[in-house]
Amino acid sequence: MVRYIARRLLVSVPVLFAIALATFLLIQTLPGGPFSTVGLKSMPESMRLLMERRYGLDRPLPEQFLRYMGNLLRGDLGPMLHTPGQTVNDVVARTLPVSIQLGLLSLAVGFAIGMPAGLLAAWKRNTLVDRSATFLAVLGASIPEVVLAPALILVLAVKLDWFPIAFWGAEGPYFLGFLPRPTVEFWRHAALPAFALGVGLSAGFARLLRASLLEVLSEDYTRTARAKGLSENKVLLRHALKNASIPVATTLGPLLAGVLTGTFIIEQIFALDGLGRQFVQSVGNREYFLLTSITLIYALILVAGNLLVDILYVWLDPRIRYD
Amino acid sequence: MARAGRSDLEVEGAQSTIRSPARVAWRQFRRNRVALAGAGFILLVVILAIIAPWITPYHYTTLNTANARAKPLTRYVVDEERLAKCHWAGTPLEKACGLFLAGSDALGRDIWSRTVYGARVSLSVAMVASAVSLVIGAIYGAISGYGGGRTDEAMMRLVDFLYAIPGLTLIILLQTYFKALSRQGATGLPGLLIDANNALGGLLFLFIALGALSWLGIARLARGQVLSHKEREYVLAARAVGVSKTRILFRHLLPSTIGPLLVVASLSIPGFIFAEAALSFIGLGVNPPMPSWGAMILEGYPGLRSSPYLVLVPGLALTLLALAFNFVGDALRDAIDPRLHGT
Repeated sequence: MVRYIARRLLVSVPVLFAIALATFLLIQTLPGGPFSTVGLKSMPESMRLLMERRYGLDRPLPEQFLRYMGNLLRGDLGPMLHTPGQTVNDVVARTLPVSIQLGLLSLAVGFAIGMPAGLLAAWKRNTLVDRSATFLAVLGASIPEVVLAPALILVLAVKLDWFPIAFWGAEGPYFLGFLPRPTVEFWRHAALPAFALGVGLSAGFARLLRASLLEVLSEDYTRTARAKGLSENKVLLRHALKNASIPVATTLGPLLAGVLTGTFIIEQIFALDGLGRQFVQSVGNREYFLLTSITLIYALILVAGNLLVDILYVWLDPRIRYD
Repeated sequence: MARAGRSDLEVEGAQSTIRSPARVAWRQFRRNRVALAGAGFILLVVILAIIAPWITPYHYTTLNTANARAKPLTRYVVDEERLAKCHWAGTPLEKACGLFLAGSDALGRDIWSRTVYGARVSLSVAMVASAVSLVIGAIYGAISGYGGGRTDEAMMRLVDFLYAIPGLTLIILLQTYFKALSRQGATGLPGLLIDANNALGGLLFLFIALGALSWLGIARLARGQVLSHKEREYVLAARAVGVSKTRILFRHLLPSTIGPLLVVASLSIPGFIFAEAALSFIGLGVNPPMPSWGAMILEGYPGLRSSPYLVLVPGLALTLLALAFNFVGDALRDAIDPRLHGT
């Protein structure tokens, strides 16, 4: 197991390197540089050259890339080009925790709604309960965040005034780097965005879990468990559920990366200072170092998420071994 | 497979007992009433999108600042100049030119008209992006699986690598690149592409950006399908009578493994529709003033408090279309391959 993890990590190093290189090149070849304009006017040639020299952007591309990678190994993600005095590290340290908090909360919402719904639907299969749960799940999967979030804001924040319309309710420094103080302020601000993100997740979880539970329930070991005289509850919760969670776990890897790094739509709508919104805003003014760094962070979390899922498999299904 | 099998058996007069997989699937599908309703709704939206100029009062670009932020279902007095631009001017429907069915936006553009025209964007993204990912994925995966050995190894390593790229990030970067390139202009092939893209209101580059990584899942599935089929009797038989490798791949293996691929492709359609809306919402979708539901939500969002219909009408359209595609996709899955249930 340890050797398997080590090998997987080793294999992902060249992959991450290739992603860094590809992103770096793609971003640098974007027409128009970070200093081509000041406001709405184009920047004078002499100024532009001066600025580019200041950040080393006048050097040949291979040299720039090597320097970026060298700094990266020392944990330096590079300077911010449009906010003097700030580094990419500062921005990531400020925005990543917000995205992680939102992501974890929405995952929690997704599990809290989706898993019981899927379990219930499979348990009461082909009844009204099953059909309603299945229908709700399809409905949940059909409402995009870009629609659900404004609708929630309109009803719960504007009309009923139960929740704030925008902004995040916590500020750094955070416990362990990402855990906020659980104040009322925090929960009130987090409720709508986490729910808007979580509904889509829960629909996916419910559908997957129901389908795989139905499959597992027709397997031999389930029949054995029933034959031993175990109650239906025990069969379902102790024997079937764990195995049936494997497909859910499979989707968790990519989901984790997407959700933890913040979906830019939700962050945009609720004006949250998260990583996803930062990325979208920085594309326009060509924050070279920030864009490359955020892409790398995404890729890193994606790799880690998939690895985590593979380890989860072993716990869920003892038949799976990596040697 | 179906075609070859049937023609042989028809000679013996046994066709009534032979059902092609497609026909079995259709019988199964037909019994699902929700799915039929979904398919009917999609068809309705397609027709509305095609005949948009006849069922909407205005073109999606027609401004009327005098009637900005008009309330839904309320009659307004429309001035001469704008009346001249009404699709229904001079017909018995002319009275309806002052009726804003779904209200008007901050520039006085009719929301109903923009929503109907906006269906064109969502529908073409749904069709083209899923078709592109299906074609590329199926061919790539089938070649990888049928080729085997080193070819397979190399092709699948590439897929593994591409899987590690955060998809949405790449789409955003690609769209930024295309937009900047269009502004800057280019010669030669890129220039031609830019012209074609402008003619399509920005759809071409959107297809490319959305399709770039979307075929990976289908490629993996197609490879697995081909691997499980390539040692079966019908392939052996084809090989025994001397059918060429390419022909076996495209005429025998792909047709008999296409079912599950079709299912996955159809289930991916709502995702593409959402991705387009999300991109348009951050201003990286189609070129304005081409109406896209995502872009309409973006434009209407600042007025959410006073004119919620600016967001709710395109939002409802988006949700209903995705719901219809989900119903159809689910039913297709149950009909074609019940084992895929839940994937």
